[in-house]
This record gives sequence, structure tokens and C-alpha cells, in this order.
Amino acid sequence: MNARVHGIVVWCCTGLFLLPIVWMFGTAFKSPNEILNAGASLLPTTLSFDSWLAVWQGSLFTLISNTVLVSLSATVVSVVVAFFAAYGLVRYRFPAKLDYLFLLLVLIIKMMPPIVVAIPLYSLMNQLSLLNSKAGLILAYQVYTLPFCIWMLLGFIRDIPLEIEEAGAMDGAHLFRRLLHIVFPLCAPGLVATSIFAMILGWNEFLFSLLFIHSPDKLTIPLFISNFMTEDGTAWGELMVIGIISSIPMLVLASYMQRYLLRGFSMGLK
Amino acid sequence: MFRKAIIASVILATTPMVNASELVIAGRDSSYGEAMEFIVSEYNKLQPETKVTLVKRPSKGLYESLVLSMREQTGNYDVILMDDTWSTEFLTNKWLAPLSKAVEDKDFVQATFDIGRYPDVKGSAYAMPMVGNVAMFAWNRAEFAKYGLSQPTSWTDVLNSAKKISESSDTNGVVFRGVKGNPIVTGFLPILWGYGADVVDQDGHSTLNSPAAKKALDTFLAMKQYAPKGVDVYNADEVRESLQKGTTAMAIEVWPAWVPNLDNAEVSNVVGDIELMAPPAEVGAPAPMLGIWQLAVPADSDNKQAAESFIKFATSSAIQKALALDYGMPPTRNSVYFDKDVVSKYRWYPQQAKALASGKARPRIHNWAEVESILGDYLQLAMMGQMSAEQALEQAHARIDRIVKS
Repeated sequence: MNARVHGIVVWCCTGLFLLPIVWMFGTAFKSPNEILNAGASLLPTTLSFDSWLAVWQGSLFTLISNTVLVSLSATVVSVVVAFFAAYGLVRYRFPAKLDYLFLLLVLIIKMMPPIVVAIPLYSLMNQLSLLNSKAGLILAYQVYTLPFCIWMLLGFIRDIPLEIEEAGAMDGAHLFRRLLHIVFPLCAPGLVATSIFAMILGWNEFLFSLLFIHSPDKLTIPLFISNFMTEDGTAWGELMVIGIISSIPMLVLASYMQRYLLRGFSMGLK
Repeated sequence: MFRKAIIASVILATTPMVNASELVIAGRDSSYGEAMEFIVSEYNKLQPETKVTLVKRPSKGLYESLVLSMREQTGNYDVILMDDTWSTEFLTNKWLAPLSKAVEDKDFVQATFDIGRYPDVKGSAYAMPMVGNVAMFAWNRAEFAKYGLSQPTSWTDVLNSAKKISESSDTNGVVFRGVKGNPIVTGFLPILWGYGADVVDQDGHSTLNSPAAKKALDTFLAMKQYAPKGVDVYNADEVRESLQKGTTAMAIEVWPAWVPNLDNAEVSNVVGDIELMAPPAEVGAPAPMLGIWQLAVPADSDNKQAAESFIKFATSSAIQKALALDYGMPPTRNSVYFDKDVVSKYRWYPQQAKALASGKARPRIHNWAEVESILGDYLQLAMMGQMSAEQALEQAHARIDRIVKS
């Protein structure tokens, strides 16, 4: 009986979470007329590919590859820099509590509304001739991703017992070797989780892409999505199609990295 | 000699490349974007040697994008599409380049062209009007006839008609934009002006604490009871829908670009029923609000000449006629407003041309965006019943005066 109740609850919860996804798929295959007039029906009465064709006409592949490149590069830069920063903050002592001050400043930057940072950053990028370039965008994304990665990795590195590192040092392992063979594998789940979240942050970033990029061939997906919500109305079908397409790369990445996440957790338990 | 001949031939061969230019245009998304795409394709047919890149920005991001680019003098854009309310800020900061005398044309509706001059209507032209939006008042003639009502000429008439229709049927009396910020302000301005009040005086000081402003806001708030449920979050999309579906009899503020399909039976239930006219006035003559989208050349552009030539082309009568017929863009030229083909598609265009000619621009102060945002916040608080009309106006007045002094 208990198992039955449990099963019902699980199915209900799954259904609840699946509902918006089913609605997204259903709407993506509805005709514009049906979207406006069908009320709350989940599935289309007749399959229509109008919305798919409308989205496919644009330079969708370029937009997706731009977004993948920029968010992936921003994630790699953030995670690498944050890993060393977090390690230094955890393992070393700083005078006058400078480490706490640094962490506080990092947190303040993360808490600021992005537009506040965008204006000076724009000026800086202009002086460095990095406007309208993917490299500039990758650097700008660090404002979102780096503080997040530092704070997240801090907890994971704190959990690694210092004794393991000390044992390595006594066996003659120098700092880089200890980082590579002890610290890195032990905080792998943390690195993977941090990477996924940083990637999502970069993937969904809108403001910097809007302000710093002005060549249509360098734009990213969030800007393209905003084209379907205009003063003239919301193109629900197209919005659902682009929602499905743009979530696929993140789902693939998350499911691929999940293996490493689980493997990392099990390594940590040994 | 042979060497000189080679150099001369190389110069000749590269001359077209030197003359050829590349124009980058900062435009908007939605129907404005489609219209601009059409202009670009037509321009390319005439000037194939000029590469034109159109950057379509979401309407909410275009302003920020332009300000940052021109403030930092990046030279990113050669032509910009801008709302007339932005031009004061852009011009006082000397971000726009003056246009030559060649752009002057008597065919433009004077009010729409003069809005692009600086420092006043006698000054040089800095922008040309591309879209002649003017806020109109919409009313459903069939619905009015059902209840023996006649065309409203004052805001009191509007309120009384809305009451009668709402209480006698399921149709809502009146609809407007209730979303805070720009939408609710532009929804309220026709009423405020209709009562002879204004947001600021010529020096930019708030005049919202006047008795006329209080009367205007009382009328605006009273309309809510005859509006559709949830009007506080209504925007352009919802106003158009309720008008076209026939669920509402009047709309305080309708921009012609929103409603090109009023008489299209495929999407409209009110074919031939809706009348558009200049907003009613409680005192004095009606003052329809102008909402002109202009084309201008940033001062940091490296291609000013080519940019001006593009702007002239984009605002020519042939292009404006095509934009009106195919994209529903309200023109800025008299010849297009009274064109036979255009009037047969949009029967209200002659009325619209009159409204445009007597139109009133929003206050020409450099921080209008900030003023609008403050007023929008308080209007919505009053609309939601969280403060009285008097409190909302007093607080908006105090804050607007503070930013003007700062």
C-alpha cells in the first residue's frame, strides 16, 4: 500500500514537472490560429510545422554555435580561475582578513544589477577594441560566472581534508602535483556542478550580448528569442520551438556531465 | 612610364571600392524590423555597391544600445531608428549629425518633420520622420448605436458612454494600457492633456500638482471599473485584441501601427465598426500625442553622406506607400495619407493625417525617460488602489522636481 501511494505521488510529481514541457511541445506543433483559439488544450488537433519553418528560416545554426562557443569558453575560463582562487582562499591565510574582504567584494559584484556593470564595462571594452567580438563577450560574462564559481567551489574545496594533502606533501608531491592528483579529483563533482550552472548562466545571458554585439552573425540565442516577444504580440509557436531547440544543447551537456558528477561523488565516498 | 600606368590603372580599378561604403543600421524588431528589411532590400537594388547591415534590436534594448554606442563614440552605427522622445537627449549631447538642406521636403506633415529640428522648429534638421504614429481614440460605432450613444467629444462623454455600455451588456466600456512605466503614462497623457494639464512646464518642472491634473487622474481611475478585468497589466497586445474581438467598445489610446488589421475579417470581429479619431478634449482643442520614429545619423558615423542618402530613400513617398500598404506603417507624408490605394485600405487615414498635423510631442526635456518612469510607477499604484489620485500626483510631483533640480 505504501509503495502504491509512493508510486502515485511520484507519478503526480513527474506529471506536474512534465506539464510545461508537454505544453511547450504541443504548442510548437499547433498552427497560429489554433494557438489563439484552442484555449488550454495541451496537444494540437492537426500537426503544423509553420512555427518550425519560421524559426528555421533564420541563421539559427550560427546563433546556436555562437552561444555554445561563448558560454563554453566563459565557463572554462571561470572554472579554471575560480578553482585556483578558491583553493588559495581556503588554504592560505591573508593579513587583515583580506580573504573575507575579497569574497565580500566578489559577492557585491554578483549582487549588482547587470546594467550597473554594463556601462563601465562597455567603455573598457571599447578602449580595448573588444566590442563586437566573441572574446569581449567571454570576458564580460566573467562578471556573472566568476563570482558564482568562486563561491560555489569554495565549499567543495573546504570539504577536502587537509590531511590528505599533507600526506601527499610528505611523500614529496609539490603544490601543482597535489592540485592535479589530489585536490582536482576530489572536488571533481563540485567542478562539474559548477560548470553546469556557469554554463547555464552564460547560455541565458542577454544584456551584455545585446549591448556589446552589433553584428547579426555574432548574436546569441537569448537575443533571437526576444525577437518573438514584441510590441506587435507574442509569437507563441515560434517561442516554443526556439525554447525546445535552445534547451537541447544544455540537456545534452547536463546529461553527459552527470556521469562524471556521480562518478566524482562515489570517488569522494571511498 | 610603364610603372606609372600600372599604378594609375590600380587606382582606377580600386576607385569603386573606395566609393563603396558599408552602412550599419540600428533598428527595431517586430513589424518595424520587417519594414526596415524591406527598405534595405529595395536600397540594395538601387545601390548594390553599398553593403547595408541591419541590426534589429528588441524595442526595450534599442535605447540602451544607442546611448552606449554614441556616448563612447564607437562609430558602430551609421543610421539609427529612434523614438522622438529620445531626440532631446541625443541632440543636447551632440550625438547626432546635422542633415543637409536637401532633406527638406514640403510633402512631409510639418509637425512630424519639425520634431527632428534643433534647437527649435527654425533649426537645422537632425532627423527625418519614418513612422508617423499618433495616438488616436478608438470607438465602436455599432456598439454606440445599440445604446443610442453618439460620438464622444469629451472625457466625461467617454466615461458616461463606458458606464452605459458596461452596465447594459457583457461588452467592456473602455480599455487602456495599465502596465507601469511608458504604457500607463502614454495611456494617461491624452486625458491629462485633454484637461489642459501637463506633466512638466517648459523648464522641465513638474506641474502634476495642478487641480486639472487631479481631475484628469480621477477620470482615468474611474474608467477602470468599466475596463476589462486585469487591465492593470494590459499592454498594446491586449488592447488590440479586445478592440478587434469586439469585447471592448472604446480604447483611450490606439497607435495606428497596432491596428492595421481592424478591417481584416480574418482576424477582426469588428470589420467596419471601429472609428479612429483624435482624442476627445475636456477643455480646448484635442491634442493628439505624437509618437514619431525617426531616422538619424550619429555624429560618430564614418559614412555620413551615404547614411543621409539611405535616410532620404527610406522616407521617400514610394517607400512610405509600400510600407503603409504592406506593413501597416503609418506614413509621415501628406501625399501618402491621401493616396487612393492607401485610403481604400485604411479608411481612417484622412482623420489620422489631421490628428498628425495638430499633434503634440511629449515634453522635450533631456530626462523624459526618467520622468516617465516615475510617473508610470505612481499611476500604477493609484490604479491598483494603493494610493489616492492626489497622493500619487503629489508624490510623483515631488520626485520629478527633485530629479530636475539634481
